[in-house]
Amino acid sequence: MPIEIKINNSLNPNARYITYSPSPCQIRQTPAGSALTVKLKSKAASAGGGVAVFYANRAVGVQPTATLTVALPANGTWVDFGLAGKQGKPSVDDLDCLLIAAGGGASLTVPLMVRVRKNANTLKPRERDRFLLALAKVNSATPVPSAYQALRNMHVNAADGEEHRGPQFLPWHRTYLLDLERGLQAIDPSVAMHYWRFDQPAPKVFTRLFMGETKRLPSAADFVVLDPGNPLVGWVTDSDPGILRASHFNTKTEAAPGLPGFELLNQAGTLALGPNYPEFRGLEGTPHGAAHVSFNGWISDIATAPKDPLFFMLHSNVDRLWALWQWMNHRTNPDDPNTYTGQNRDGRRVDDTTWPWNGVITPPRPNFAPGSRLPGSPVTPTPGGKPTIRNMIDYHGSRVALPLDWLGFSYDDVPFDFNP
Amino acid sequence: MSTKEYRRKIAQSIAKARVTRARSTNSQIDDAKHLRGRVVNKKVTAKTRAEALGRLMRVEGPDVIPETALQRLEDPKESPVVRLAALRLLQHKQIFSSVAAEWRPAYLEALRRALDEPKLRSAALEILSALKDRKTQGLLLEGIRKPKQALVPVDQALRLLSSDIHADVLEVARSLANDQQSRKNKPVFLQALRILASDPTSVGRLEEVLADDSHSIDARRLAATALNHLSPESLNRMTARTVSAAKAGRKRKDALSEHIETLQSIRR
Repeated sequence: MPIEIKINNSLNPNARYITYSPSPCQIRQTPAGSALTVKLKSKAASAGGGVAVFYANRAVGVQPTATLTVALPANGTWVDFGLAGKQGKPSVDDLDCLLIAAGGGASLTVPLMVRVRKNANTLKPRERDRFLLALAKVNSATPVPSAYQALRNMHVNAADGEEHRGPQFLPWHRTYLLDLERGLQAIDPSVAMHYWRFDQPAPKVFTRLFMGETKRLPSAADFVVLDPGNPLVGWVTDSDPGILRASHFNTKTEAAPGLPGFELLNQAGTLALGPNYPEFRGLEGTPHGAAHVSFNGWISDIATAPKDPLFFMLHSNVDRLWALWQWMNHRTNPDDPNTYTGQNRDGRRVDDTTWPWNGVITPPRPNFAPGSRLPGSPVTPTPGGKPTIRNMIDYHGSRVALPLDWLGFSYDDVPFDFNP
Repeated sequence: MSTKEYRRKIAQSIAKARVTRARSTNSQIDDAKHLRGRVVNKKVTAKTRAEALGRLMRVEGPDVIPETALQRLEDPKESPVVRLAALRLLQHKQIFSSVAAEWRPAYLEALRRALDEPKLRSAALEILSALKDRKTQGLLLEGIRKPKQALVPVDQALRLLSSDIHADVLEVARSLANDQQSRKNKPVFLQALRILASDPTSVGRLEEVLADDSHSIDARRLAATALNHLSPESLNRMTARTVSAAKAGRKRKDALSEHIETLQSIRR
């Protein structure tokens, strides 16, 4: 009585990556004489590994369970269930979480990964090193231009209106992060787009082994110092080797400060901007802008910021704050103006496609569109190559009333709830 | 901690942050008129005035042209502390202002004026260079050719110019990278090499630097990174020699061979 399990509705081993949002899964027995009852459970493959939980169905208020008993019909029909990472128990290594199905003398163990975006300061050295190697490979010399250089070419002054100074700021950058994350995962599927929590000291981030030892200089910039074994030693953008960054603060002991009188808002202060989108998007000034200008160098200017890979970790934290705000305020319905308040301009309405992934190069869009379509993922078919702002809002696929639609990422400290 | 408890804990932290903010906005501290008066009140310390300017910029929000900050930055009689604060606050506001394009020309002009003040020069040059300001590039190049007129030392000028490499800059960098005198000035030599990383015609020079152990390890590491970018096959060819020479010379792996191994691991 062999058992088969689909993770993310797929038998493809590359789809065995789950987040805190319930992934659509299916189980069956190959056709047999009688029905079979199996119990699903999960455990870490090794100490510190990931653990999964189960959802019997999708409804507001449904909580995950540690086990799930499923009756498998004799005729081999697939039975649906939801599988998610247990909050607080994400994976460290690839396939370090086991899904076990057993009953009636049959059993199957499926290794998988609870893959979430984590606070970069808490990464284990091996997680950090996998992240850095994938990042360096995305920006490797061949092909020319690298996938990273294409991302860099998107974030320039000529495209400013697509990306900043409006309500599209948050969804545009969510798409941008997803583009890089999927590029990283095509190289190493165990990697996620980890974040720099700029409102806390992050001494492990600003080291020679990670984002580079960063000098504290009041008014000039300098190149960060890297260990010769750090994959970022090969970092080149715009044919410019190295990473130009100095700080206005002590990166070993202090959080990013922002500016005197215009300080960087911490997490609570950011969430307190307001429960509705028009107020909350004020985070573009602080903490977002305040974090950028806590440095001298590339990251302090829009036109050069993505040349520094710290940029993406900074924006992953901005996106995490948005995700946390969405969870706290149940802001997942794109048609609710308190969730997203658009403007009557291309690229800012909720159903507008997003430049440059839409390839549009006629006004008011820029007359160029670097890169190509948004990369796909073995984990989820969404959002497709030409994402809209709508696609970026319910990133966890939390709305039970709609067909399942999720983006395949979670943050380590942002839980999942079903919403109407 | 359960999800419910977690939600409650975050809600408490938000409530606390709201109370703090309400206290601040209900007081005169955050009144725009009061803050403008405080910024120009020279009876209080420059530090206090700089902080008042920051608060003013926060209160004004993204849709207001930052007139007060622009005036403070361009005024040569203003305290350098206040001018530097204005410079950084304007740099910040360029990131999120909905009307940034309207005040950008005034911002550039104020930054150019700030070059005359030694305490602001470095910060202003960083921003003007990032903005690819042609006038600034001209001044930096002129300073390299005529050191007595230089705004900053040659290595800094090269680094600032590297944000927008064009023919003039390449020519200067090639010349400095080949000049025996410049070779002795490590910061200048490194910055010149960095610029050559964008120049396919400099592969030969970079190969020479990598192969020549009279150069510093930093210079050879930089040459390796540049070659990895410009001509990976050339780095492979060089590597066999360099790494085997390093292995023959020392039992322990040195920083250069480790650096090259790392570059090659990225391409595997």
